[in-house]
Amino acid sequence: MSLRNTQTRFGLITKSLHWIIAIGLWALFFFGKYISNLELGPDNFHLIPRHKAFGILMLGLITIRILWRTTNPPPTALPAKPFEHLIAKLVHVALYILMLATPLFGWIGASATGFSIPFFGLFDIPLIWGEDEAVADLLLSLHGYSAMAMMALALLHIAAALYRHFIKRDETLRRMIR
Amino acid sequence: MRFLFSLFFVIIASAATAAPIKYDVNKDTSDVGFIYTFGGKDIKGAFNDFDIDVAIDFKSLKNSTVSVSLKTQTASGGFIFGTQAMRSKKILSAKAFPEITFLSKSVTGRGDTAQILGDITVRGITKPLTLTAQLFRPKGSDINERDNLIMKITGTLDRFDFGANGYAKEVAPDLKINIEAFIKKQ
Ligand code: HEM
Ligand code: HEM
Repeated sequence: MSLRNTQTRFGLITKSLHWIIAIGLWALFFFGKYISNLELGPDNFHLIPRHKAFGILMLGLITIRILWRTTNPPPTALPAKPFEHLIAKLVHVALYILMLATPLFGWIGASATGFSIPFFGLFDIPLIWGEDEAVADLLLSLHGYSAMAMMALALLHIAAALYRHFIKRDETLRRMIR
Repeated sequence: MRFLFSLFFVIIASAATAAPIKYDVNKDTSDVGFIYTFGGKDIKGAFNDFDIDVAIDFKSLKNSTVSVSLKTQTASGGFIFGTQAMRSKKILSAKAFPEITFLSKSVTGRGDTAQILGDITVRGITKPLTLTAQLFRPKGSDINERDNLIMKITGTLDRFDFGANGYAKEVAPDLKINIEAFIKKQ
């Protein structure tokens, strides 16, 4: 199997990144929802820096994925109606934008709280905004909304993939897996 | 416990000096601590740099004075994020208000404890505060020892009185002050 995408197939790198990031984003989404509803105390506050560290890790993978895609276009889309192509394209672009915006909002908002962002105890991620409560509140609520928008679109995206697989019975989903 | 008690009134009763004795504080052994409640659990914090001036008149306690200055940028919340929260704008705002000060206005004694009424300034806001002080002799020292003493100061502070009201959901408003000062005659 080729590492790079070809005219007709996704390469190993694109596929691995797609699935690792898909799992990671769902996990972070529920993790984020979980911690934002916690009553924080000495026993559980460490979950917040853990969410941040995983989020930054995800941002790194997403950046690699987007860079990889710029030098490595996906295979030609399988036949579909023009409006289906258009919607697929729009949803993919929106997903890429939200995949960057969500962790970036989180990073700015988390920086503005003034708390450090340790990366699994290895080093501290730089803070990219000065301590500012208003910025922290705004950006962290945007972070929550953009995460929700992203997951809503991902559901649509998954529905389309399942439609292609089970109803239209084409190669779209298989191509992303095998 | 690192020392034995010697009750305040014992020292007072056995004292011969008339004028207040001035004391220096040993910063290495002293502990300016406090207890706060985070998520229902007690956590110990501290100030790592401070100045404490004490003058004790063992004959007439009301002539005694205590002044304390805590350097907020050395505040510790007991764990890294607690420390960052304490120094942040939402609590001590340590950059804008580098000091917490306490100046005694009156000292009264009763039994083995003294009440110190004074003014405390946190985040630029000054309020009256009453602290309780007890004096102890170091372990094994003479009953009349007065050159090296240990002063324990306790009290309670409502951080909301001073606008230090960040993280109100997680951290209770009341803090217990717990100072253990090793003082030495100047
Ligand atoms: C792309 C990955 C990420 C996803 C999917 C994600 C998702 C979420 C979600 C769903 C919430 C709960 C929002 C709410 O309901 O209010 C949340 C909260 C939060 N996230 Fe993220 N997040 C990600 C990355 C990050 C990053 C990179 C940071 C910071 C470096 C971060 C910092 C935070 C913080 C500080 C909170 C607030 C926790 C609280 O309420 O105390 N997140 N996140
Ligand atoms: C949070 C979860 C997910 C995100 C953010 C996401 C994102 C994306 C993006 C941006 C693309 C476009 C790739 C490109 O052309 O550059 C893509 C392709 C694809 N995704 Fe997902 N995905 C997620 C989950 C899933 C799931 C769960 C499935 C399967 C049920 C799936 C199936 C596919 C398929 C089949 C393609 C290829 C579409 C084509 O051939 O044009 N994705 N995904």
